[in-house]
Amino acid sequence: MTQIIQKSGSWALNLVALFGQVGNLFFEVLLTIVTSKVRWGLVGQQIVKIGIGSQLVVIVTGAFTGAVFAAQAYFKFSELGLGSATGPVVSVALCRELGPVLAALMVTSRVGSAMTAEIGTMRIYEQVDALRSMGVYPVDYLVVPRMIAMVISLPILVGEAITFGILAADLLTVHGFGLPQAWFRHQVILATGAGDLLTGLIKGLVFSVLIVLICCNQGLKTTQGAAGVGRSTTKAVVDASLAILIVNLILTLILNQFLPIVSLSL
Amino acid sequence: MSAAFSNQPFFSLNEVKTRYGIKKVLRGVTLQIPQSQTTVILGCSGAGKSVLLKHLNGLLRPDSGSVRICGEEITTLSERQLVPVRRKIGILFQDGALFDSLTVGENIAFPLQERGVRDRAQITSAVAEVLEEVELPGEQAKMPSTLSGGMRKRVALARALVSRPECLLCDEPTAGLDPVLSQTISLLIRRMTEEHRLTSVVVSHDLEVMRLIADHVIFLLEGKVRYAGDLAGLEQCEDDVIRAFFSAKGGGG
Repeated sequence: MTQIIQKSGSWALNLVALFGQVGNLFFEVLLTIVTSKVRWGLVGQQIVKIGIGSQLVVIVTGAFTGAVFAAQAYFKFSELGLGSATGPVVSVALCRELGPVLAALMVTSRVGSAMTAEIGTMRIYEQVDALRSMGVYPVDYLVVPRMIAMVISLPILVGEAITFGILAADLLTVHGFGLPQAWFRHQVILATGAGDLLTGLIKGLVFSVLIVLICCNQGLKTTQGAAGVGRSTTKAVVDASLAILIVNLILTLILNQFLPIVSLSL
Repeated sequence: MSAAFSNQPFFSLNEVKTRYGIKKVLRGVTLQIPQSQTTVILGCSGAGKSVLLKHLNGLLRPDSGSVRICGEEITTLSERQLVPVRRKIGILFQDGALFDSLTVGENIAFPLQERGVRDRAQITSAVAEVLEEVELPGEQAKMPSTLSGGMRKRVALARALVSRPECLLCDEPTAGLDPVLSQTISLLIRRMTEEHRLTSVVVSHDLEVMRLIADHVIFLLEGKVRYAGDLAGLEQCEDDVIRAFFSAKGGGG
């Protein structure tokens, strides 16, 4: 019993510490963006790594998720004579939930882990101390360029995941299941409002901040050699993925108040 | 190597205490490091030498006590306020701490660019000059991963010196090097210190390094200063612990 209380207390303390560290890092990043020079060269390099480097994985994820979701929706809906609802359901789900969440999770695995490992290794080999000793504030050099690059790249990647998801759903339902293409597209356009797309992009923006803060924070506090880098990387990916899923629910509840789903008329 | 002690010490530490968890690393260190001389901080592994070195430019902060650089208290300064203080000091880290994604030339140019030097010709000439000084001319294009241990140390030394600091801190500059290379690096540090009239602080447990470069020696034992003074005084010291250290290191005395 004592152990359970101890573990719960320790977990709660770690969570509070994580919120504190991430909040502090967010404040530091904002302060740097407002008061210091931004290293646009590094931002460009990070856009290449994050945005261009993640194209394939995000497009494939979006396309296959759209296709699979369309198939499952069509199988169920067609039993009820509602096969025409497939397009709108897939489209709204991709815009509001699947597109932003899956793109963010894929970017966390591909880029967030690399951020933690790179910064963690720099910390272990005293390169972060070397930056500080040369009068360079590590947040300015390591975190801010990644943050700006991610904030620019992830919403675009979310848009791509949504687009390729809908295109894959279109291909499968029209060419695979024989739904009339004009009807599918008409229903998708009718059911998908600007609010749906905006919801996805806002989520992409929030997730991009979360990924960079959690992964960079974990990298900056890495200790204990190569094993420590491994532990930090795993923890960063787990924490960032959980944060994305939890914050997604909160955003869904809030954004639905301001950007509600348009009524479907099939 | 002997030079007159300046009145104003470059570094002045008073009752500096630091702990990591339950381990007390520094247990009330009080010392002064004179200007324009080479001070060697000597001691066994785990004595707190590297931790002490990192307190000298604010990379670590003490739990209590005071650290002054040329009379200015630095323990109360924020990370951003420390920037101008740190720019007076170059540091050579134990493994060099070179940035792996940059070439040798870019690594050395980095401190200059951070100080706002934009003139490419000026940067190129400064990099070439400092590489000549550390006896690695023409190695600008190499990547750090292709360098030997001794070359990495020299490049790191060049990076520490390129912005012409007032002080040079070296953390175990000869660790992992063979005796010949160790002597070469030690003599290089001594030459650079003399040519640029630097205040140097070298952390080491290597007696040969100490004999080659030290004007002033501080012996650290379990986080406290056991001896501070000149080299001759240390070698004649009757302290049992220091004698044992010298015997174990084969230093005789």
